[in-house]
Amino acid sequence: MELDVSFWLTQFLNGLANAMVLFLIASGLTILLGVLGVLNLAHGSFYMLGAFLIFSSSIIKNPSWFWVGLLFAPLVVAGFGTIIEAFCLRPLYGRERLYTLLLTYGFTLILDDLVLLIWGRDYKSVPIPALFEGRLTIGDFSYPVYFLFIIAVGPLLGVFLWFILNRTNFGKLIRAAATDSEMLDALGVNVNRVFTGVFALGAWLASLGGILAAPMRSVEPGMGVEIIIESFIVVIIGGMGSYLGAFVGAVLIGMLKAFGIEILENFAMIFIYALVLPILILRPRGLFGETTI
Amino acid sequence: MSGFRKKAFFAGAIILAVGLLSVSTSFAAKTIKIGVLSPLTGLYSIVGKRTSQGINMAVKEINDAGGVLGHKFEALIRDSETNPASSVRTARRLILRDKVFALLGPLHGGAAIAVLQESKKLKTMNFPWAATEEINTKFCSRYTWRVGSSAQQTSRAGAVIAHRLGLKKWATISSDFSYGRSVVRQFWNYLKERDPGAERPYAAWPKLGENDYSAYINKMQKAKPDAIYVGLFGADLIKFMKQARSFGMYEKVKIFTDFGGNHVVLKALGDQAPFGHWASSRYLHNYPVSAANKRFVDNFRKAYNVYPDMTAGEAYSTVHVIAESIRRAGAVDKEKAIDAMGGVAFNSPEGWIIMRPSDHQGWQSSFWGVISKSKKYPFPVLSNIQVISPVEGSHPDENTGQGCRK
Repeated sequence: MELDVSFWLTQFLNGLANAMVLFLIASGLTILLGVLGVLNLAHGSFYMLGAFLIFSSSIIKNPSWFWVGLLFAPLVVAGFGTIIEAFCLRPLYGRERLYTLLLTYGFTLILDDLVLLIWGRDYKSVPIPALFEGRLTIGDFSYPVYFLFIIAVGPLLGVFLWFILNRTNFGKLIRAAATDSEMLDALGVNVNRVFTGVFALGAWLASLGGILAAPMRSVEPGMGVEIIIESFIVVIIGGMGSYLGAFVGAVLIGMLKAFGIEILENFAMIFIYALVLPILILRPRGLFGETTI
Repeated sequence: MSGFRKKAFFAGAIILAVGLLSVSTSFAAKTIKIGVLSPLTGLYSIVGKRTSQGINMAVKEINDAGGVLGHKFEALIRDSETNPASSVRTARRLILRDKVFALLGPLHGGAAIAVLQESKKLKTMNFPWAATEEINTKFCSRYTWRVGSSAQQTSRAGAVIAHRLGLKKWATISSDFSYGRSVVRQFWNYLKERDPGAERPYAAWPKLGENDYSAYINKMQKAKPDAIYVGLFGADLIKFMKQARSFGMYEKVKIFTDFGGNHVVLKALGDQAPFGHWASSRYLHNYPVSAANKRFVDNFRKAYNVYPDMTAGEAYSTVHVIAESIRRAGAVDKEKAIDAMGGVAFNSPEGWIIMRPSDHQGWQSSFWGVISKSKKYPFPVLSNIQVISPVEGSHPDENTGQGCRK
């Protein structure tokens, strides 16, 4: 019986760790959808860029490489996101959504090839930062410290995001822009700047997800495309524009994957879509969303 | 006067042009073109890059030695895009327009089977990179050959080692698609054949490209096996290894990885490699310690400044085997070269490869070894290498190749 408790606890934590990475991507995706009305397919590419940048900093054989990367890489990616938004996306805001969809899809292809050009084709692996090596062991139960670190970072960033959205001026502007950007414009606020800020924030979060995932996963072109599909499912479940929804949706997906394997192993993937289907039919705006996609 | 000069100049130009043309056509007639389909873009582009390097090296060696029967080799390398439809289109173009003598690749199982059927129709020999067993059985034909090891060779050789070590209780993990399933099936069936007492309480089949193996690893640990057999490859294998390591699997069980001895994987894992555990590779830069291997590795490093990996070694040998079949046929003729292919022997960097007439598979030894740190190399290598001869059962039954006579 003792063994079973540690087995289920491990499975629960696995689901949670998975969920936290997903949350970082999905939260940016959902805010972008809510405020800009843009489904940014290149969002996964920011996740990929984060992972590649942390790989580059891991080449520095110095224990502080992880912290240097964690601090600077998201800023670099956010800066890159700013450029994309300001020069490529902005001219398309007035047009049909299909245009932005095509543009961001184009960026996923360009960035996948760009990382091949810059970083080469060899398989890449990022080591676990020395501080988080090893396992936490209590009796029969033993769990990797790095996974626990990921699980801790998720809620911390969640609170940070909540603070930005609800307690800062910038957050107030974001919420206002989501509700009525034209009115905000009429009030003399530079809405373009708000949009750019939101886009940069999303890129920052996604690259952070890539950095946290890199030591546990692989660093490769195409990694962004896969994560964007799961993240989009999270957004559908949680509701467009709701970052609380992104959190709940990510946890739901994480748990379904971890426990689905235990119940019906070969059909674990189906559980996720089985959850999406009734939500799309019965509650198309998602669990916490206010408008339909 | 100026009219005459103009005419003379014109005549001279025509003579020159005709001369050049005849030189170039005679040069073209003296060329044997090899068409190559490899993944040059996308996830497996490292394979495309290394195969191209191996091929270009073999072509250069053959040409530097004066070519084959007075013909120079030329490689036309194209992107296979891992998509059956576009692979077939490119294959057709290479065969019909470029008139290639033989077709090499592609890597992806589904695309490989589509291409080999097309090359059969167009009567051109094809050497797929894919290791799927069906290539020697169900889909084999007069035109389908393979120099590189098949999936069952390495897995069955793994079962031989597993049996030798007396490991009884197993868990297996491999991607849920034809190659992944075939690797584990071959291993497990062959181990059961040798040791009926072996048991397998857990077999995991994650999807190809899975990111998070932690839930599977947890279930593996619950099954308490003595050893695990890992059929994952490429980036999936790297992900799995890192996660297995952080869950302490390296200390708890013996790990066997079918693909883990491949240089590009060991180099990527670096200090996080499963030291002391067993892995295989279809080609090793550090074994056998032969003149052929040393020359290959030295030349490869000189040309590309990297160590050749498994796919580079196999691609290199494939080109040489084709050259050998033409020499043996005594004529640059597609059909005659195929007639001569069965029984071609090549002293490759990985040892002798003999093209078996029955199932069109290159007979060769398989290598399993222990992943170790090395003083000589800045990355992990295999040591304590065990050579499993094809006679020891690492090859399937002779009769499986019946389809190749079609």
